[in-house]
Amino acid sequence: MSRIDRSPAPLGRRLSLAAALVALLSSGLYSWLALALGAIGFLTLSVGLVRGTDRPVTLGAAGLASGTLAAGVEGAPAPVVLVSVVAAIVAWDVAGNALGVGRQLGREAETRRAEAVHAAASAAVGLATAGAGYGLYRAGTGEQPVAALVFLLVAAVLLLETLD
Amino acid sequence: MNAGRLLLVLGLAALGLGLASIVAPDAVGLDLGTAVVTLVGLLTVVEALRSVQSRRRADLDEATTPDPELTVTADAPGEELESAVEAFLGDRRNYYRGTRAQEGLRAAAIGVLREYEGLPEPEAEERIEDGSWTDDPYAAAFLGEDVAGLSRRARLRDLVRRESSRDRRIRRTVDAIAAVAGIRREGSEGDHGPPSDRDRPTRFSTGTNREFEDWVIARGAHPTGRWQGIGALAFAGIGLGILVEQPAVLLAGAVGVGYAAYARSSAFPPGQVSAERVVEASRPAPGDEVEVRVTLTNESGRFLSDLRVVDGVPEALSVAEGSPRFGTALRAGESATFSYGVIARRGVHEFGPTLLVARDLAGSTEEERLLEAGTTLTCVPPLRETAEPLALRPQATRYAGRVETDRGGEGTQFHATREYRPGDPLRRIDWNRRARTGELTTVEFHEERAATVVVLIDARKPAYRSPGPEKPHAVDRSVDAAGSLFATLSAAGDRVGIAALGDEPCWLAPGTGRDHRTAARELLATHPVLSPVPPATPSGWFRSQRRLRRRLSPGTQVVFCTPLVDDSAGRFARRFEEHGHPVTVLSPDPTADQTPGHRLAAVSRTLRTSALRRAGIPVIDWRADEPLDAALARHGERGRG
Repeated sequence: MSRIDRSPAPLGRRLSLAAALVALLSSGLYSWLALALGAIGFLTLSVGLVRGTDRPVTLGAAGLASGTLAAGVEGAPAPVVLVSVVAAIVAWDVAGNALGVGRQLGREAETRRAEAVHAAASAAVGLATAGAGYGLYRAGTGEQPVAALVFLLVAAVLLLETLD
Repeated sequence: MNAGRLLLVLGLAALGLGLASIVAPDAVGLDLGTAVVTLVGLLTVVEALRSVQSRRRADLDEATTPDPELTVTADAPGEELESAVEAFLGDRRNYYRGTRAQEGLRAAAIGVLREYEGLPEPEAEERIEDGSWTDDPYAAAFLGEDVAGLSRRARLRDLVRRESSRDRRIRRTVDAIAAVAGIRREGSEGDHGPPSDRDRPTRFSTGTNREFEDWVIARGAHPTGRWQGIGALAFAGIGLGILVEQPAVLLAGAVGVGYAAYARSSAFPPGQVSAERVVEASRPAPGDEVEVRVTLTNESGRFLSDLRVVDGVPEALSVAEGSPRFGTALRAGESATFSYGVIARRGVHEFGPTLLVARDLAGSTEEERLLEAGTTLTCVPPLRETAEPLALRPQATRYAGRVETDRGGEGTQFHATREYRPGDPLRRIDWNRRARTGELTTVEFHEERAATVVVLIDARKPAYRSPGPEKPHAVDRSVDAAGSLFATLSAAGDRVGIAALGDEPCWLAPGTGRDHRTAARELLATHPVLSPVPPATPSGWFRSQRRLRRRLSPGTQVVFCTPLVDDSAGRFARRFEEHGHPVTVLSPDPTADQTPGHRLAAVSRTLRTSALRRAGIPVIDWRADEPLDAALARHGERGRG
């Protein structure tokens, strides 16, 4: 053996592509713009996964996420947008992890358990926040002013940013 | 006020406004007006763009792992053309850089013309001046001064080639020199570039603190930057959601907030993790595949989500099966085992520490540790006798044995007859002659005596050379040969010792017997000077050479195993010879044929070989891929014939 195959870990690669496909299809069914952005994003992400480079992965996931937002802007139902955005983020996170595992441990190494745990945690976080957000939204519409939600979200993001 | 402070103030303000609008909707609430809400939305989108920028500027900061499974490779001599050229310049190294290649090649050409064409130096110089030494117009023009130069067509052709014209001339000149020296070119048309940068194995750096108890932190917990920019999605969703008044988009932003919180929620450091290594066979034969099993245990009280390990495979061993790398997640108290196979090789191989890269669940924080799991793999190959004996130099000690002398006496080979003297043993009287002529004569045989031989291995840093990365290097071949020669010579009754030129003293005094044989076998396999891995620094072997000369008793023969890649090796051989130790050089050939540098280095090695032979020192040229027996047989025939 004269060199080590450092391409992305196979399990993560497959999971990431599956998540990206979910993100593409769920929002793409509601908007042509979302379908176009998502398709470009999906292809770019796949290129990143094949070549094992970070930038296309991030750009592709950004394409998928903007497709999702576009679908939302065009009036797609909230659950669809939520599933799509969670899938886009999971696709990005799992792809980045697969790239990192590939770089550090190579393809030959047995890494499935660590990858599966990582992907499951990522999906769980997404589904939990999406579920909580959707629940609050359904419970709170009409009674709480939208401005309250807006300000609370903005506050959360700004405070998180300061933690860096 | 810096950006962080500003964000904090804005965040607190937004929190206050939000809470206020919940507690007293009428006071703030929707009365803010669309203008304010739109402004907030725009600001948030701007913040999203800023976050994207931060991702673009930031690089991932993930641990890079070493490649312990790659074995150290030895280069062929002449890997750099410059060093191969400089070998010919000798003391005149201070030439101006631009003409150094020309001067060096000129010296090389003079050298081969003197050696192989038998020309005296002035004539060789003359032939180089007028270009008549070679058929190659490029080579002639490169070294000569009175040469007409290249034809216009050749010049045009140069322009189209990829190779620069200077490189081309150097290559053609080297080939012309090699042709004079009788070195056959095996490679195809020389468009092999220098070998592309191969994966060089990087080693674990344990820093200065080599003595550690269970583990040391190689690099403390640090952010990996993987989640950098996730805020962009949160801001974009919220900002857009506000502007287009779509709750679904706003909720997508909320998901981004959730992930941003997740990325910062690390519970680190990973606590106690231990590694244990089991090597299946502790004394394997060379070439055997040995299984190495590593067990990783989570001794901390909580779930560790991401553990990545790279085992410290010894430098000289290559991994045959599986991978010494592993990634897993472990519950509290849980263990996981992985295994891989290494190919055993002569020597004492110490496993390095196991590198552990631990991450939190989100992968945003990472720590690198080295886990101690000291293990050694010792491989002591048996001493194999050669089928072909080594033709020793004709000089001997007073012990009975194998080397034939020119003196008559006891032995097996007929030498002469002489007149009977009283006291001659009866069995040596030539009774046939007595019956025929009545004279009483005594038959004398060639007296056979044992030699005292020291097999000397050149194990200096420059001797670690091999024709290709997959081939054994010269020191490995020398050690193998030394083992075989030791076995053969001692089986024939000679007294054999072993010595090495290297950083540390390495010496086994000549002797005989079973214990001596065991000691030799052990020394060849395990002595640090003979390690399969080249020493890090070249130093100190001059002293070892002086010490060695003091140790050799008068008349001891030296079999010097050296690849002859530098002039010092030849000097050693001559000096031993001058001090009355007959030297035989056994030279494993490490030269390659890929680049002009390789070929030039091969030329200088053949020149060294010829110079030694001219000085009366036999040189056994042991080609790569050739069994030792074949080289010895070739030498034996030449010796006899």
